[in-house]
Amino acid sequence: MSTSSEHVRTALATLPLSFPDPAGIVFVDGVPGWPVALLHAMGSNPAGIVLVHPTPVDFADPLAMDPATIVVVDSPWASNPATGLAARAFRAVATDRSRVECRVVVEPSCDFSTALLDQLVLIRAVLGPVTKLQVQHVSDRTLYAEGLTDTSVAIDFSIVRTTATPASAALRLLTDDGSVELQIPSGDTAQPARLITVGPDGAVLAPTQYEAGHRSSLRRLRELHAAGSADGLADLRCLRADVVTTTAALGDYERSTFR
Amino acid sequence: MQSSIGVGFLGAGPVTQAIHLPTLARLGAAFTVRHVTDIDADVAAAVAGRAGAAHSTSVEALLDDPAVEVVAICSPNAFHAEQVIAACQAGKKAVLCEKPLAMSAAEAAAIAAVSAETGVPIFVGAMHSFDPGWRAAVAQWGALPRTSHTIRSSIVLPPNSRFEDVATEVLTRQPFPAPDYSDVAVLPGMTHAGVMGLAIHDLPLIRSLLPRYDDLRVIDAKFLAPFGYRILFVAGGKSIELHAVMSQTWQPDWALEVFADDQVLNVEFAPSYVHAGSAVSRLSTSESTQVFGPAEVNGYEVEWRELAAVVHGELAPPDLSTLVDDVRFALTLADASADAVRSTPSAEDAA
Ligand SMILES: NC(=O)c1ccc[n+]([C@@H]2O[C@H](COP(=O)([O-])OP(=O)(O)OC[C@H]3O[C@@H](n4cnc5c(N)ncnc54)[C@H](O)[C@@H]3O)[C@@H](O)[C@H]2O)c1
Repeated sequence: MSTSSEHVRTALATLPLSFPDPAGIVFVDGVPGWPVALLHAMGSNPAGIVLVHPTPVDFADPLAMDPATIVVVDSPWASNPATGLAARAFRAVATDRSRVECRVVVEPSCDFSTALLDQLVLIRAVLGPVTKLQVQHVSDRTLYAEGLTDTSVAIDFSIVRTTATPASAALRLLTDDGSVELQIPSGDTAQPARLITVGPDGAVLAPTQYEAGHRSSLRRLRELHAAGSADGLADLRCLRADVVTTTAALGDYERSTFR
Repeated sequence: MQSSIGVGFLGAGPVTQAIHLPTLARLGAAFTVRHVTDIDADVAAAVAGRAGAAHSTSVEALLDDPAVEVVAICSPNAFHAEQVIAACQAGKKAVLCEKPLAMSAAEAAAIAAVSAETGVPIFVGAMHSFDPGWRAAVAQWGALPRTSHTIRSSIVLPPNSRFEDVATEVLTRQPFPAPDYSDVAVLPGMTHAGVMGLAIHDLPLIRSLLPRYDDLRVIDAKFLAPFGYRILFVAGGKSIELHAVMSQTWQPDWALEVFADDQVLNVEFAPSYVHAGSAVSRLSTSESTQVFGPAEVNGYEVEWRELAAVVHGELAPPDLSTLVDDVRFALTLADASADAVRSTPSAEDAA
């Protein structure tokens, strides 16, 4: 089976005009220890870096590097091209009384800390950063957590491990008279996400986009490049905040159950 | 041809009118409604009139009516246990009690005792347990009760009246009193009511997947406005999430999901009242998904058909210890959830 990192590499072949010189793009696999690999990559002044599916390890040095280097974080759910439309739909109805369910199904081999980080990155893309996070329950196969975004939207996180269905993520916000729901299939194919808004007049399925999240990440890299982004490390800074929140919440939970 | 079974209703509110009378009408000659009792004489008379039955305002009058062979208890929850017991003691052929069977462990024990003594078969109108779409999945799910590790029930519903009004023409409704949120007992009470009124539909199904529940522990419970709950609990080594919201949405979404390492079951139920056929169940492995339903027959019809078969001696009665255990499980969870809500500081307290 291909790794996500290989999938992103092969996605380069689908953007031949945007990236006439694919060799200029460096891929850093988000396995533990990735900050060292990233630092190394940044040192070689590449045209762009894609950090693929990072595990939550804390890092500081890469943030001190030249901000002209563009680093894009490729994340299984947040990189889906539907998150742009989803952000508009969710933000249009979210209030400080809202609760959003964020549920993911993952492969049994996927560790909870990475799965939780992926959820935080998704919520940041759709609603805003999660500033408070509390892990409520962890078993061998299930994790429940509760969070709050910077605009006080409550989030109920759940992670379930199984091989019986493909990995997927689902976000749902129930409103007084309807709902907004986003279902994202596993990011490695172009199977589209479904964004459905329900209101008094009916249900609307947003136009589906048959583009894999990895290709969408690469397009973003290209756009940042073309725009001459002054801050190529913005993704990394957001990632760091989400890593800190994730590891702190898991650490607190471990300490509370150890006692 | 078998003789038609005479039915008496205790309580003639929306459930009798929208659920049971249309179901019995579909079942044709199998049942005849003989007597309708309600504390509201006008409701009793009007509903009885629809069915050409006798009417009264007292439980005794109904139980004394020899034409009543089977008693259907559709009164408010607080009266279920005493009416089940009275119907058993009156020597009726069977009792169908709307969910929940009882509202306390003591009531459940009293029902168990009277049933053992009288041998009167008792059905609980937990229609999802009878639903052909659910049962078909159960027949095929193999080791799922043992291997499942995570369960999720999510119920999103429009107001009941929208479904009652398309299932029949409802006479009167009890007004839903506006809750006084300044009373600290209100949210725990409403959470308890949510478990005993709404989650109760799927709790017997969930319990059938648990090896035990004496270790039940609520991790978190919240009341969700305007009416609903989110409850996380563990029991029998499994992680369980119960979620429900009733709002002004038009779109119902009633799902039960069961996860094992190598199997996932997803059941979608139709809302209550509407007679929209059975649930649709999907049983998935990494290779394939089997789909069960929709069947035209719904759980209400099956519960009445099985009751008829029991009365005619063609089927063994439901196992009462299972039904009593179901209600004990529900009460344990409802009490623990209400406690959890009670001990959660309110937003104002926390500020
Ligand atoms: N299976 C389902 O799908 C389903 C759905 C909703 C409700 N229910 C259950 O059905 C039952 C009835 O629900 P409902 O919405 O019709 O209730 P309701 O409270 O609206 O109506 C009950 C009726 O019983 C009458 N009543 C009150 N006290 C009585 C007594 N002591 N003896 C006889 N009658 C009495 C009332 O006057 C009213 O007409 C409840 O227990 C509820 O939990 C089942």
